Amino acid sequence: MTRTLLAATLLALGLAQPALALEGTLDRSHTQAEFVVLHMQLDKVHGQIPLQSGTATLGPDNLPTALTAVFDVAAVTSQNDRRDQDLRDNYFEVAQFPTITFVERSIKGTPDAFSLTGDLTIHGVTKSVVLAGKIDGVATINGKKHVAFTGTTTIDRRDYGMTLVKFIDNQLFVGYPVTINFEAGVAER
Amino acid sequence: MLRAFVAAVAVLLAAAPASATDFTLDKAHTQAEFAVTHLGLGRVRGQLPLISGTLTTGANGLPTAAQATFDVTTLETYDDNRNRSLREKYFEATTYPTVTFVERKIAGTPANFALTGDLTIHGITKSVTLNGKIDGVQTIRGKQNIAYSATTSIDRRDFGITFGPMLDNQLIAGYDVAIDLEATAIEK
Repeated sequence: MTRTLLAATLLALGLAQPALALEGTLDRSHTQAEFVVLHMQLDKVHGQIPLQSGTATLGPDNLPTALTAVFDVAAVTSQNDRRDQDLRDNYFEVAQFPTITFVERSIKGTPDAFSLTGDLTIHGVTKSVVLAGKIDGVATINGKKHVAFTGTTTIDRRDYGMTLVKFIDNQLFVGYPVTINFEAGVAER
Repeated sequence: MLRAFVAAVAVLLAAAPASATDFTLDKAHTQAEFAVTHLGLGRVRGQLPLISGTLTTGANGLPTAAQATFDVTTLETYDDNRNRSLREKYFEATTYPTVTFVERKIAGTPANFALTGDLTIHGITKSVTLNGKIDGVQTIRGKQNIAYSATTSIDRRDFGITFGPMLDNQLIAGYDVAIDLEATAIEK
C-alpha cells in the first residue's frame, strides 16, 4: 500500500512538473552589464555595471524562458573616478534611479543565436529591447549545472531620458548611441 | 648677414623630420583588457590601467615609437576574491608589478596595421604582433588626439604564468588569453 502510494506520488510529480526546466540564480561574479559609448567622437569609453541580483529558468536547450536581472548603477565604474562621478550624478542620476533592470518577455532562436526580448529600465524609463545572444558554455561544477550567456543590444540614451548634452570644440562629449554587452553566468539552484 | 643666418636656420629646421609629432598616452582613455575562459564556460575579463606611455607618429598617424607601462597591482575584474587571486597567484604582482610594451616595428595603414613589439608580462619578454587600427582623430583644445585599438592573443604559459588549478576536471583560468588594447594619444 505504502509502496503503491509512493509510486503514484512519484508518477504524479513526474507528470506534473515540466520535465527539464531548471531554476537558476545569476552568479554575481560572472554577470555584468557593460556599456560602450563614444567620447568626443574619438574613442570608446567602457563602463561596467555590476549585478545586484537575478534569476533565470532554463528550458531543455538551456535557453532562458524567464529571466530577471537587477544591476547596481550606483556602483558603475569606468576606471576613472572623476568620470564615474560624472556618470553617476549627471547621466544615470543614481540618487533617484539606482538600478537598471531587465525582465524577459519572450525568446526565440537557438543556443547559438537567440533573440531575447524584454523590458529594459534605465533612468526610470522602461522600453522593450531585443538582445542578440548566444550560449557561450555549459558545465557541471560541484554537481550543479552552470550556463554562460552573452547578449548585446544598442540603445539611444535619449530614449531613456538621459539627454545631457555637452560639447567641447564642437564635438559631442558623450555620444547618444550606447552599446550594451551583457554577460551572465547562471548557476543551478 | 642676418638674412643669410635666418635662411640657414630655416634650412636646418626643415631638415628635422617634418611630420614627427610626440604624444603622451591619456590615462583616462588607455587600458589593456584581457579575456580568459573560466572553467571552459564563460569569459572573465580584466582591465589593467595605464601607468604611463608615449609615442611618436609619422604623417599618417601610425605610431613609430610607442611604449606603455600598465599597472598589474590595480588589475580589476570586478570581484575582490578574483582580483586577489589573479594578482597574487597568476601575475605575482609583488614581484612583477607592471606589464610593458615597447614598439619595435610597424607595417600597414591607419585602417589596418601590424604593430610588433616586446611585451613583458610576469618578468618575461616576448615579441608579439598586435593587429590594430586608428579609431579616430580629433583636435581638442588645439592638440591632436588619436585613438587606437589593437588586439593579440598569447598563451600565458609562454610568460611563465603556469598556475593552473582545476575544478571538476576543468581549468579554472584558461591558458589562451585575448588582449584588447585601447589607447588615446594626446599631442605634447
